[in-house]
Amino acid sequence: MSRTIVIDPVTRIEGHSKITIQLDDRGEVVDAHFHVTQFRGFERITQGRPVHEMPALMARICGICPVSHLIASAKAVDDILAVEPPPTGVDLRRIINLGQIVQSNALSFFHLSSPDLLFGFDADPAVRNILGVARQNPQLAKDGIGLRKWGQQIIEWLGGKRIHPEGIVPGGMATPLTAEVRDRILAGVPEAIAAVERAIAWYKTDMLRWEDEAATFGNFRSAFMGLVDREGNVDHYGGWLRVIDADGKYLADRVDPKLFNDYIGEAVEPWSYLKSTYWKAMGYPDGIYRVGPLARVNVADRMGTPRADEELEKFRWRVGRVAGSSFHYHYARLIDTLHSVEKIEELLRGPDILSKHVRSIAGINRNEGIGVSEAPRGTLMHHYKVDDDGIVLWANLIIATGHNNMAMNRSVLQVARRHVKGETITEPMLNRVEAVIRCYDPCLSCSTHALGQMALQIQLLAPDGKVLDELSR
Amino acid sequence: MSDTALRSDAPGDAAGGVLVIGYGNALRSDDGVGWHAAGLLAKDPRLAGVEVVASHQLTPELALDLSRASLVILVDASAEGPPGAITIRPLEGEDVGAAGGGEGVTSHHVGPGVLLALARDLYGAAPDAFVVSVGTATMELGEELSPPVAAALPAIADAVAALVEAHRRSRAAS
Repeated sequence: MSRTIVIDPVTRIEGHSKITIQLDDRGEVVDAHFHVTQFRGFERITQGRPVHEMPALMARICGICPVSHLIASAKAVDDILAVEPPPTGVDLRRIINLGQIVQSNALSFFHLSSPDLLFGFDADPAVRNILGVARQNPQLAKDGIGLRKWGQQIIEWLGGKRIHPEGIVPGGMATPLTAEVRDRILAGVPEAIAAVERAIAWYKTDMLRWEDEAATFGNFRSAFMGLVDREGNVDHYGGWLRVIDADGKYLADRVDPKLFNDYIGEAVEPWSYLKSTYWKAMGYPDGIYRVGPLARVNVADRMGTPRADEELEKFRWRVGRVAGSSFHYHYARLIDTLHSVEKIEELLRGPDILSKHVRSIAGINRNEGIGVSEAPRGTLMHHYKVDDDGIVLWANLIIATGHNNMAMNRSVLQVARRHVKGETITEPMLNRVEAVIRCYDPCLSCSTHALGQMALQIQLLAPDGKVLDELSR
Repeated sequence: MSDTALRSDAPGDAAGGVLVIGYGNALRSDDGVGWHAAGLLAKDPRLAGVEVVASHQLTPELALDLSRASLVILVDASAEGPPGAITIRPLEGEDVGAAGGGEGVTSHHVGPGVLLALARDLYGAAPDAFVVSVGTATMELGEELSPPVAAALPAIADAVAALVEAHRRSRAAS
């Protein structure tokens, strides 16, 4: 008789979900599903709204990454207005987007994942948390807090407020940068760089402990997707889509992101509100690909800033030119953060960064627009259609967690096969299933546009669907 | 209202001063009472020089702000007690100790005790801390407070102002 394990809810991620693990007659794992059980439907509720409202509305999708949605949405509206923001407006958008990357990456690594890495995946949850990190490795905890703070301040100072900033508008930015704010941000750069480099040094000395996890946490062949600039460096704001296969061969390069519909399909499964995107040329479900920090470091030739490039070289020496294990999202996330800090400094020191020309004004000039950027968790796509008065008729969003949906499912299956023994849910299995999902840092609030905080439920099911064991956190 | 420091130029500038954090979900009616109270408190002349922050939830980086203050007041909604009823309790050592394995340490947000523990463990800071809880009538979707909770806003401001005044007197006397 086959059986199913259900994990419900999953903790330390954003949103609600559960996991079911199906066993066969011999008790072997045959399948696993990561179910996203919440729904919000922003694509529907924005219909009928004036398109100029879209950036502010879309920022409400997520309290963690509002800037990412603001950026992609503002770019989609730029497309509808057929305007190009002034260069300084673009640079300010880049800076605030990178501030978002820094604070979100810091949250993922320092607050959510470092407890597992510091104490071990099987340590007592009463210790394996942010407070435990503060007591065991206070510098690590302080560095996480400091980076979060600095990233949040950039968002607040450029965007007007920290959670749902309003400074990013169609056509550019609402207000220019002042010398005082520029200098205030720059003053934090040395400590931000020092904090990330301390974390990288700690991670590198510690990572050998996790060889088994690196081998089984979503370690499989897949494609990777991300944005790169003209020189092949990581580009978090614009540039072109590049997609590589597991061997590093280009599946696509220098693709205009606005053409993403030609390359990416969306599939819906009855067991989840989260759509699964796939590379059309390979079909569904074979067209599995990953996005986010690991994909960014895999697809790019270089990061494009000196310190991050040095670390990228070491990363590739340690884990290969194309890192296949999702466990390495952690390492890649730190390099991504280091690059973001360096890039913020580079942009702030630009000769025209204080220019007063930060916004282009225009009316409705197209009935369709697409905006694509890199969010902390990966490539983010907003696609709108409007009438001649600029009223939204239709919207579609492809969120990083959707791109990663198939990869997360495959990762859960791999961990389950490695750790499920018998008919009961064991703590080591539960801990690792949670941890492998956290590698992707999924935001289910974004991906399904739902409200709430993720919790974990696991169910172990028999072949006839009977629940053999169940565990919730 | 912004999720931000409402009075000082930048969060964390309350060195040795008073920090008030009103928090909650402003889209969940009475759950946002802390948020509404922060807006009122930021304009209260009795709180001149006080840093007032409105926030959706308590996040770990606020520990840095706590560590720089001598008095911290957290204003939050409570599912317990009659709607609009105000309860003030000091955040003591036992709250901090209990927080170690409790709620709010495994997600994107933390509880008041954990925040205070982080300020203490990481920065050696031990500000006086109080939680001002307000009983709620509804937490359904909506931006408006229920009548009894809205009516309690002036009393919340009075309670916070009284705590600040007592703290100032105590500091002046010492």
